[in-house]
Amino acid sequence: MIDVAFVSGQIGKAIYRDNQTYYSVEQGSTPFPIRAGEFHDILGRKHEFDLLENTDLPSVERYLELSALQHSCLFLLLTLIDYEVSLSARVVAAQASDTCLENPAVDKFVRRRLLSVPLPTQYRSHRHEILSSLSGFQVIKNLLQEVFECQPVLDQLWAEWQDATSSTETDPSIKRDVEAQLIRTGFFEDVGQALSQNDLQRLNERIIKEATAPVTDGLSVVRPSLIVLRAKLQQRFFVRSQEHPQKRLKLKHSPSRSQSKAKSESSDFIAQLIENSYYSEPDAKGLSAFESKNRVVKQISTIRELLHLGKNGLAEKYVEDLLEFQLGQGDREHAAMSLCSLAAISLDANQLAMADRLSSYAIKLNVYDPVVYTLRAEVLKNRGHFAAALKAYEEAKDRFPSVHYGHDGYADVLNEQGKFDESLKYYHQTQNHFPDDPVAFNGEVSVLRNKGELRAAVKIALRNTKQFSADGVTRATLAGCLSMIGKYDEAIKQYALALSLAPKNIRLIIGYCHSLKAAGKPDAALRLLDSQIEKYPLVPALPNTKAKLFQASGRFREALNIYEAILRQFPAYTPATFGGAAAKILLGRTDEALRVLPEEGMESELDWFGFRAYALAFVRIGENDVAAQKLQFGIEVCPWVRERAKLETALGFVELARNNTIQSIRILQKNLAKLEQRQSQSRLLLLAHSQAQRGESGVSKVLLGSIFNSRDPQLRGVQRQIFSSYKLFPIAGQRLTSSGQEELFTAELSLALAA
Amino acid sequence: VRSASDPAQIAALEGRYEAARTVAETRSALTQVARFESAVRNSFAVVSCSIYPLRQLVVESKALYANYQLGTRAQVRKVAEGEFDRHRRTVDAMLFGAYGDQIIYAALSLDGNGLKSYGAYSIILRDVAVSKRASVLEENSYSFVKNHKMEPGHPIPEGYRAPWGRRAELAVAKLADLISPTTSDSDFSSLLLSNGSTRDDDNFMEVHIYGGYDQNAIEAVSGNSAPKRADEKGIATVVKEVLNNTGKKWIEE
Repeated sequence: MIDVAFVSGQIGKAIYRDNQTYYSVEQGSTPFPIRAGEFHDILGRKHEFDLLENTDLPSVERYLELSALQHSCLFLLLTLIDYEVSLSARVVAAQASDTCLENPAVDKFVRRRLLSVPLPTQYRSHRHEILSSLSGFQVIKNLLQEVFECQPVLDQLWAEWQDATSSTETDPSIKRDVEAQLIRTGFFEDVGQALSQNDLQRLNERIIKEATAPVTDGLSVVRPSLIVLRAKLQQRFFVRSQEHPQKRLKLKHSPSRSQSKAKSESSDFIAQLIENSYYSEPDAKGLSAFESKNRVVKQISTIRELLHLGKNGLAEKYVEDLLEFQLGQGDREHAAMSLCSLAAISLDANQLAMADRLSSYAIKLNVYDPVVYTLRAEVLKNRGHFAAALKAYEEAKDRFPSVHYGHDGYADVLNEQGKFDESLKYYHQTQNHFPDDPVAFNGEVSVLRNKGELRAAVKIALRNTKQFSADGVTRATLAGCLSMIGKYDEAIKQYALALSLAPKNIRLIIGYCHSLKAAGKPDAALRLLDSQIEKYPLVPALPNTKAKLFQASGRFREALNIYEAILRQFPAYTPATFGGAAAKILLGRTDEALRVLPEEGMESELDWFGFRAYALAFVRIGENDVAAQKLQFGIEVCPWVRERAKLETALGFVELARNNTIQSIRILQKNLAKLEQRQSQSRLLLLAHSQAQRGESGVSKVLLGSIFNSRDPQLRGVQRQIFSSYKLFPIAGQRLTSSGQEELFTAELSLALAA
Repeated sequence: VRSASDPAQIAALEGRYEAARTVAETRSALTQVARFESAVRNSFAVVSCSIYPLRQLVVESKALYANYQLGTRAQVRKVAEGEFDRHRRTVDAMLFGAYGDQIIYAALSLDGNGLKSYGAYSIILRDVAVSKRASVLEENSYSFVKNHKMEPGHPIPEGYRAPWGRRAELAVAKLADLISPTTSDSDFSSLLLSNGSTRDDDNFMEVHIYGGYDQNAIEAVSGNSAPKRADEKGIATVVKEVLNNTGKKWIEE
């Protein structure tokens, strides 16, 4: 008679005590006297084992055989999900598990495990390949299909369970045991199925059964958690579905057009569509893949146009149609991709609220797609919600560790936050993990630029071009760095080379134009722009750059004309709205400008440019105190490091306009050495002006003569005006004719308004 | 290892080793004994096991598998803790005292074959993974305790254990008498380790490794990748592939 036996199917071994002597037995072999290490094998290494009491050897052996078979089958099924295992090995595993599953006890065991615990996310994205390779094994295919389908519900169930246990302050050491016990008893499987089937009664029965079970195995300690869990699940899965009764019906792809009334009353129809898609069956009369794709492409194109026209209401209706169609086809993955694409378009159009909504819908549709996560993080970053963006990127990194976007994005946000050293650290780590990805290498350069280590940035950028010699963006990054340190001719050469490598990269074209202008070749820049505008008539960023070039050379009227032309074609294109407003300020049409510029609710870098223009409009009408106050607010609140530097430059200009030269000098000198070339040169001019105004002609001369070295015609124009305005300097602090003064003021205002 | 490296142990081992060589010389077998000694210097520690522990070993670091392995219920664990203490009554306690439960048993092998009575698969451990924490006993510890009539509390007879680096001397001390001038090199592996019909009949030198080991300690695995049972065949196929993917050798038997 065996009084106690410990059986572990996981390692295929049992140990038992018989008449005070210990034995170990392995599956299919005879028992042997135990060795101490075998105690440790089973009892000490956290292997799973079961306890049998008052039994006999045949029973122990039977139990061991079944337990080993259960664990073997679980292992084999997991192997089928493991994409690192080859197809041929998976086929052998499928054959073996098919045989194992014929035993009902094995089937029950593996179902309880697989349908209770969420799969690690990295294993979910290969669903289609995995299932398609199992066509000869229908039982396994059905089981794994069920496993994949229940993942969203399991994710939510476990999230609520974690919340419930933490809100009831369950001891973590007990919690783990209890979770194991709940998985063994099939609790999570049953609850998950009740949720999937929308069966409130079953959910309640199951939870109450567990919560009122006799006090065994420590389950009583989590009774409060189970009660909280029940309330949370009811709230999440059932209360909302009662608000939208159509969800409870098995609709094809509800709600239909005939329910348009319900739709118009619904506060968030798209969210409702997505929720319903979990409970709906795909339309059996689906179109072919080609027809579907064609239709989706057309719909996205229409929505793009509507978003650029600012017809958001109509765009949203089209988005609903698009999703209704794709979800009706049962195509959640492509629906998520469409939403990502539309969110990216919204970002381009600076429609951040729309981008935010679309990207959050995409996450609800497909948590297995790295693009969905990184786009969501990108939207949060663009809105200036850096902490949330970091969390989103962190999640992307955790979920998709082998995809570089999350890693790059994380470091990029740190860079935007001004946490340069941390950002560099992450970029270096990413470079080690993804040595073939130029993004992390270019990101490092960007951090060094923002940090003010321009020479180091050039050095690294140069090294990168050798490593990624065929990458246009890497070369453009080097060109940008060269331009920043005033090496314009070399920068232009690099830009030309970059453009030959990536001729369709609009950002690169724009950078090239700015570099040409900074090198004193504005005509060449305009010619290049004209040729590109002809090539890409639907890209508003190109004429917008042309308008900026006109504005920088004092041709405000022509700049405004271009901005207005852009807005006629793309009414929602915010850069042109703000650029046009800046031109109007320079032309003295301040009232008109103030009507379109943002005073509050700024999020993106562009929004903050609009706010800067808004503040500077007050300088134009002589309300310098208001302007200073607003700029001060901006400096304190703006999350964007680059824009903060521009706000400081603008404030320095305002203080100069207020004749508060000491304050102006203090502000303008701040971090001067760390600013990029154009910003530092603009500040030098304003600084020289401030020094001249307070009578420090020697200092001003040095600033304007030896230190100022820009070849940018706009900046050189201002330099000349300062020289001539102060004639270096008959009487300290004396200012010259009012017309000269006005001209200089406008030129400097134009500098402060530069985007 | 410390116990096996004790000066008295080493001195006794050297005495046995020299005596064995002297006898071999009188039998004109010294050359072959020297060849044997040289071969044993390159011997491995081989752990024999069934397919299940091997499966655990190769997937233990993978989140996918670990996610579905549950711990053991508190109540069961409590009973186990009570039982766990009783291991001190075992033979291992006589040889290793309180740390007997930390000892992993292996056999010394020249060709990678292990003891079939302990399992159909043999895990060959990397030398670097065991050299600092392994000692060798002349025979199976059960037989050793029995043959030397050891009782709890008795000192361990000297000269029958060696630290890993001196295992060849211990092998010579034990087996030199069985080597004749006509013994060929190919006989050495079966001299060092031979499988009997039961565990009691196995002839081998026992390796004691302190502490566990993980996948990184594996040099190679030998066994049959196509056993008859379907589940075992499936597991063996996957294990073989995982090992190959991580640069470990699979020796087909």
